[in-house]
Amino acid sequence: MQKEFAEKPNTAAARPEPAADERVLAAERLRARQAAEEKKRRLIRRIVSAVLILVFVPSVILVGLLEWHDRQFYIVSMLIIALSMVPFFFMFEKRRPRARELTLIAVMVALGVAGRAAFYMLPHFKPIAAIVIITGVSLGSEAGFITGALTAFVSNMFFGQGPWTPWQMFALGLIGFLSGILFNDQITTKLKLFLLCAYGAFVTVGIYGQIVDTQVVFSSAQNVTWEMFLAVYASGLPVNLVFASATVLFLLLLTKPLLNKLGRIKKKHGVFR
Amino acid sequence: MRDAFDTVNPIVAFVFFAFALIMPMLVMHPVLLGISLACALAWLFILRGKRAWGYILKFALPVMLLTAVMNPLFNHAGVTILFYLRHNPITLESIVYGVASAGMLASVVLWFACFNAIFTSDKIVYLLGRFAPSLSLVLSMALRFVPLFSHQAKRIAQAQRGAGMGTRGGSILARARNGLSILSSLITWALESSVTTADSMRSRGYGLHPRRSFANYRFDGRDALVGGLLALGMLCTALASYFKLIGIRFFPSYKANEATPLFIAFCVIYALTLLIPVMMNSIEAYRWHLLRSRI
Repeated sequence: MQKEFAEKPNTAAARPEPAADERVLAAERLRARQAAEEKKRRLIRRIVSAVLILVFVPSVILVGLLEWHDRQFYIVSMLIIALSMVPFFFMFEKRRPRARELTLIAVMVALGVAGRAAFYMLPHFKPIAAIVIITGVSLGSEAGFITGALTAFVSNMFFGQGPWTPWQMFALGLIGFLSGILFNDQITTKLKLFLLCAYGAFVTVGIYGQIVDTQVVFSSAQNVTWEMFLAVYASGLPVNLVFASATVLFLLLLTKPLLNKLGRIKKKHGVFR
Repeated sequence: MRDAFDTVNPIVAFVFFAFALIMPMLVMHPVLLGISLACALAWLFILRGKRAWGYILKFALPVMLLTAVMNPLFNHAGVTILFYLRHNPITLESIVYGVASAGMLASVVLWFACFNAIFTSDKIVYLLGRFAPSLSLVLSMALRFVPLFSHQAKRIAQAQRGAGMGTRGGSILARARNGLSILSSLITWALESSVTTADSMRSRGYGLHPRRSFANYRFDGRDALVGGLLALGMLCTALASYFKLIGIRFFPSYKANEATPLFIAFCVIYALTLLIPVMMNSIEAYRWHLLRSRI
């Protein structure tokens, strides 16, 4: 890719001046090739990130569990969670995102945080997960992960950081990432909306709830037992169900208008395509 | 008044917090946990005054109680069986471990309370800006957007009220509908203005330079002194753990080091390291006292 960029002007200059329509054709061909390359690169990036999340992270967790199975559960699990976020952030930094992408992600993060603050009187009834899911659906899995993780981090800057921060960041990021993989932004039929809501309910209970509750288990036990997990999950279930119902409600309300608005911005300004 | 530790270089401050937070999790020795808890409490009271009680009652105590109760109920390891609860043995070791992990969690929570007071957003952006420029930019923009959006939401609501579509009057359904339309125009405005912001950034040369942050912290003599003391404390900790001074075992039977002179010396060093912020504050207060008494 880089090499072609460098060579193209040289060869053009060396040759005698071509006719005008020929130059237009050449430019078009170049553009088409660039588009194809861009598409290929995006595909590769998607595969790499999918491999990272589906292979790298579980293997890190597995190694951690096998190597340190009876020592320092808490700190090791926290380190694993924090480290498993590094590849995502690294890849995001590495591709040097455009200013428009950054500001758009910042807006979605701020909406999530403001949503958490706006519903302060209803504990655990927050639109955070819904906004992260919609972001993942519309802007892609990478933006979904970044938005989810940063929403958790920034909202904890208002509500207090703690040992739970990395867990929440990872859980919300994962939700955004998966929604970007599983759905595209054509949520047109009622069936698709229903599927999205079902997905939202499932991930808030099954992923967010479990990950954050796991932190509670690890925080208090040296010999983690299955009964302990069950007890903590059972006691966390009501909270998770409230969060899930909030997510479903906000998905029903927000999916269509937000996807419309984001789609319009994407089309009008040519970002995240 | 500004805390004396607040002006320390963020890198040094970050290392201090990392040390203070990781130590209780790594070494759950009751004496060291007590020291850590006491140092965190002392600093928290300097930082927050009476509001520190809120942190203790709201965050630390529930976590402590939950852990201290839950552990003996679910963890039946240990050789000293005290009694049976529905055929499940309750052991002395698991009770001791529960209390120790309660102390660990409480000290982590209290150190995080101090962290929240010291690590304001500009410091986090400063720290992140070096190796994650895009992320720290998103972070600082999101932090700025939150108050901006709530301000804009108020303006939209005022305009809507002027047009007779406020959220104050009418049936609940109408009010909810008007509220949603305020939200809708807020989101559209936010998305559009984000693109304007991005264009403005681009035309001012975003991405041409390496990232610089608003707050510029120098690394001065005092930072070197604090950093050196901190490094000394960490070196002593590493040595102590290498020579198995601070080992502890809970299961199958509880075994901690005896109070040898070396262990006591280490405890003093550990306490002094964790008390750096408190000492800085008292030195500052003493200096202020001297200055005032001279007038």
